[in-house]
Amino acid sequence: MSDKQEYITVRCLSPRTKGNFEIVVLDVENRTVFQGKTAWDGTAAFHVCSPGEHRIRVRAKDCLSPMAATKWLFFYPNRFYTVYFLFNLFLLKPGFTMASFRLTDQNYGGLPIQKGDIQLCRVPM
Amino acid sequence: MPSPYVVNIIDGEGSSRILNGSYAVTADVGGYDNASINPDSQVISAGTDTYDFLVAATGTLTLHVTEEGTAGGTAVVGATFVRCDSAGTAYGDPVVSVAGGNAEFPFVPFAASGAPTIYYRQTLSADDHEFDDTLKSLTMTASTETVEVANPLAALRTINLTDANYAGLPIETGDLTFTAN
Repeated sequence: MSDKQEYITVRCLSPRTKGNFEIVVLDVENRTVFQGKTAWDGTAAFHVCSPGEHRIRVRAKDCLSPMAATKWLFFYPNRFYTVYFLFNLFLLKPGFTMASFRLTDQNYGGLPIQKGDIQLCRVPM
Repeated sequence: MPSPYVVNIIDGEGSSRILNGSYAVTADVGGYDNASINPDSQVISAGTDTYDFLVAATGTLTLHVTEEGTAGGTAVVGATFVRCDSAGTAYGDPVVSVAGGNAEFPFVPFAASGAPTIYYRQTLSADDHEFDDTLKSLTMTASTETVEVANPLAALRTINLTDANYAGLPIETGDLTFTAN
């Protein structure tokens, strides 16, 4: 029996090519048995000692929807599990916003910048 | 107006009609470190109309306070200054002259050309010194500059105290207390 069979792999899939997710695994008595983050590719593999029902909570750090997701998994020992979480981009209501921008001095709270420009370049979501 | 949107800022504010979405933000502000723009990304979405940004500068303005207002003068400790806008409204923590007479404003803007005007005002001095509390201004063309500030000793004044009912009769002994108001 290889050690690999005792691992759970969590894969968080999103349109973003990079970004880590926070993971918490709770056992049936609500005790945290694992807490960590995925790698930048959204994948994490970890060992859970106790068999039985577990809750796997995943939280996205960027502008993704949903912001968090939970899955329940009944874990048998000596098995290998892969659990997928799907995230999409935060949906923006299309249209224009008449936006006001305030630019102040970082080190003199509230001191307005006399003149300058702010440039906003759209980035694909 | 298509992306990129350029928002002109005057006196800390600007506005533009912008398509909802996610944006990378850059700054072009004379005298400031444009890489310090914070945040450098922003989601523009319906329902949120005002967005706040910060930018930082890296210069240092030294106010050298002496009784004579000269580089080699007698240092005055405890002179207090505060940065202001053009209307005289104060911002940030005051700076106080220390031994040697220097009070330093850190993180002030400078540029070889096009630097914004820096406004400041003196609000206090050492007990027995006079000071000018009017709004002062300058622009800095180098990262560090020193301004000589005069806080002369208060002039020696003669106080006469006489009897109100016997004109000119001096009061032999007594004290008068003057409290600033």
